[in-house]
Amino acid sequence: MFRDALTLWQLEWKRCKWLWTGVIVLMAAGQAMLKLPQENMPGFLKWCPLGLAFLSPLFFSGAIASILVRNRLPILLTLPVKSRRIYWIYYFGALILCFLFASTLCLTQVFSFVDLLLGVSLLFLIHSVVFWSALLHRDGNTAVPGLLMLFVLYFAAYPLIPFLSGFFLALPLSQIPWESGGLPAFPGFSSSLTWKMVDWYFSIPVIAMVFGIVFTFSGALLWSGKICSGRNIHRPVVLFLLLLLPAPFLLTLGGYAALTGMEWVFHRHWEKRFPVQRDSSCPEFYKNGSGHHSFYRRIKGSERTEVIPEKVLEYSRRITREGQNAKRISIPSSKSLLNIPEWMNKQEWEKYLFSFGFCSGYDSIFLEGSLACLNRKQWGEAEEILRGYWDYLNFIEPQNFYINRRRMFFLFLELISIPPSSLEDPGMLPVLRTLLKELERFSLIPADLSPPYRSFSDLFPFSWEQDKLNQRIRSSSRSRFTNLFIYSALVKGNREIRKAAECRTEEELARFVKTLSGPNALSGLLSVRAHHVTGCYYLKVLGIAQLKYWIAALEGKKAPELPAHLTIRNGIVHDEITGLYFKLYFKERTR
Amino acid sequence: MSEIAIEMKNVCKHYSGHRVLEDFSLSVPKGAVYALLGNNGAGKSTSIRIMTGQLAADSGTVAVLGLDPLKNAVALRLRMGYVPETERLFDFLTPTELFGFLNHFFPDWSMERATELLGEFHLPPDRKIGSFSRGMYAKTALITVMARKAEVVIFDDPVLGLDTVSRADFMDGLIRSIQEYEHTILVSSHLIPEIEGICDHAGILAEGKLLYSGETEQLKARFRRIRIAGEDGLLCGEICRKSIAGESYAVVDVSENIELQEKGETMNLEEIFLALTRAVGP
Repeated sequence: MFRDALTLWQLEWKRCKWLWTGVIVLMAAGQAMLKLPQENMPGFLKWCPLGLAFLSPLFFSGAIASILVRNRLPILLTLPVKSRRIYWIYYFGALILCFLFASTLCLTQVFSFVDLLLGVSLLFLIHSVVFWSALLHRDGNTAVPGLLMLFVLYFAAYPLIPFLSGFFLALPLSQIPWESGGLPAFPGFSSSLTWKMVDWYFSIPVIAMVFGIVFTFSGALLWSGKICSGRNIHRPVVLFLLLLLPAPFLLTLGGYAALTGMEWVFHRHWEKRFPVQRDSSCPEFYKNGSGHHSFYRRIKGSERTEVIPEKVLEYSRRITREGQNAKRISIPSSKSLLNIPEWMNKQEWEKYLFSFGFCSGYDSIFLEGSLACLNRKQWGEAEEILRGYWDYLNFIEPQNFYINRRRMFFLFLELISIPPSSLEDPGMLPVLRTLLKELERFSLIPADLSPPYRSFSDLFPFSWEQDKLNQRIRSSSRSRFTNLFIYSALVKGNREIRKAAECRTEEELARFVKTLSGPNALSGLLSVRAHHVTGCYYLKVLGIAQLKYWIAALEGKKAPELPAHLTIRNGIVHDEITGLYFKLYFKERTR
Repeated sequence: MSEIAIEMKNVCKHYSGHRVLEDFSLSVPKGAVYALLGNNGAGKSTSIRIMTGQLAADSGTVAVLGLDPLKNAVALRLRMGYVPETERLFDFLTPTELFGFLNHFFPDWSMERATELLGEFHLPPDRKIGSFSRGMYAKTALITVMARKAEVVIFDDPVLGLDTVSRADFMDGLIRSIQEYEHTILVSSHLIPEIEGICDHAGILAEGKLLYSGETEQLKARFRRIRIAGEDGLLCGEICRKSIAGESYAVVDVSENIELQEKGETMNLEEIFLALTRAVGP
């Protein structure tokens, strides 16, 4: 194959070397212009290479395809080479030339990497359509109708683009399937810009690639099945176009119907088990409010902000005092301010926090506030904030899977973020005891014993405030996919929790955790997909042991007995079954 | 092993409702030099394109060397040589470059033989083929099959548009090829005198139908020209009548009229062709 390709490419180079050399020189000249000072350069000269790049597929694809079919296939079809092989050799020859020319654009730094993805997919589509069109007409000039077809394809794919964007926007939820909002925006970009970026850098390239592949294979089939044997191609071509052009619309319609149907089935499944929580049953503070500015202040000489512990304390006291009547305040996360525990590397920490702080942040103020108080050795205040947060979570009814998970992560973060220096001070004892109490109280709620926190009305989340149809489709599609991810996560989580509940001994549970978390237990713990049971195990086994150890050390008592599978080596408590561990910090004192 | 090199049975082909081949059947024995004769538009090129796998028949079966030209195209092309109707070589190559190109694809290609033939045909090895005269072009095309040991070689009107000298040179080359290799040759042409001397089988094609197909000698023996009086009635087996220098003649298929087998005059291939095609003509 490769030798045949080289021989045929060599042949075509001999045929068109002057023409192609001319185009190469023109492109090189265009590149050189971009390197020149451009202040006084006319716009058309600046964009000359761009224009050439988009003409090059037209030129190469059209010309090479017409060479292939001109004069009813001169010697090529008398060669002992399969006709489809000839097609692919010419097709890829033209494609390589297209990309060769387009890639020079990237060298000029006119385009960035994301543009490159878009450019590659569009170029591939243009090439495939032009090649296909030129094959049919047996004439390079009719590549122009091929280009016109691109506009037809764009309009045909118009409803599919926002539908697919909805999927991409919801995709992070397949990894963090606990938040209902989906990916609101790329960091540093507005929501509308994010959507546009998803359209142009994800959906359109995917659709362009699919269309490109369809045209490529359609061309191959027409070539080897029809053109080479002189058969009539009008009927199959008309049939192909009649099927292809409405396909994206039908796909969108079908996809949307299928998603809604699946969601409805899922929802019915969960709804049968438990009454659905109505909006009206939500405590007041669980609903959106505003006022996050009051909790943060800018760090001097920096763009970053830090939490004001006094404000958090005040808010925590209010929650404890007012209970369900306290108004919830929406606060963005500021995960970067959390200290990285010394035993965890930065990458793991960020990976973990991504699951915790990226999609929500209304409770991160408690964590940051309590840690700030601990750093200031304000033990009582830190404990008050912790209690405030437990109240905050306890007031949310019903206690569902989602709230349970937040409680678990808050406990986990609090545990691993305790400043080692604070463990030297007996004033820390009430904080540790509060944490221990909460850890002992904590248990996982199986997903099927926990009503869904989403209402059935979420099945129809059409936001009619969106003024454009594609925006409506996009947000609706995103909700559809998001819901599916949530339900599938509920099923998965439920299965894990149920299985964990069947374990009779701690060792058996540890082995099950090991199967969930894989060879690297710590990474399993941090994995956003597998931390229900693993996280709970860490808290209930290692966390409690850790707190008891610290409390005993501060009280000057004898260190507590550890379960058989936990061992201490070099000041670190290791779980021999799962591979999880924690550091004791003050090893000397416990002795 | 089949003794038939090329076989077409009941082949039909239509173009946009226009009938080109109708119930076309042809059988070329191995080792034969077969002349496919027909007027322009009779269906010669179409039948050849079907044989070479460039065109699919609407119905009927085709086998060349026992292989289906469409399904076993690659295997067949390795054993078959084909010189198309008009110049279809790569004009931008020199003969040497073209031979190098073909050498890559055909295992039976002999560069020595090709170079030798270039010399014998007095063709410049390093001149672009596009600058060749039609005669030189045809000879180059002939070399593309003579430098191989193809079992079947098909020529589609190879001497069309050539001057007398070029035609003679080409035919010489073809005769040599036949002498050197025992391949089966099918030549289509409407320049009958040129190929009469070399073919041992012939098929006469008119309006998509094969009127006759068989050995040339049998064909010549089968049709005779009988001198008749103007008032004579239709003879048994008579195909057509014609006047030559005031005398009337009838062309008779003597296989249908044994009494006339020893009478009249024999005819050459062109005369038989004309008689047969005029008889079915409009």
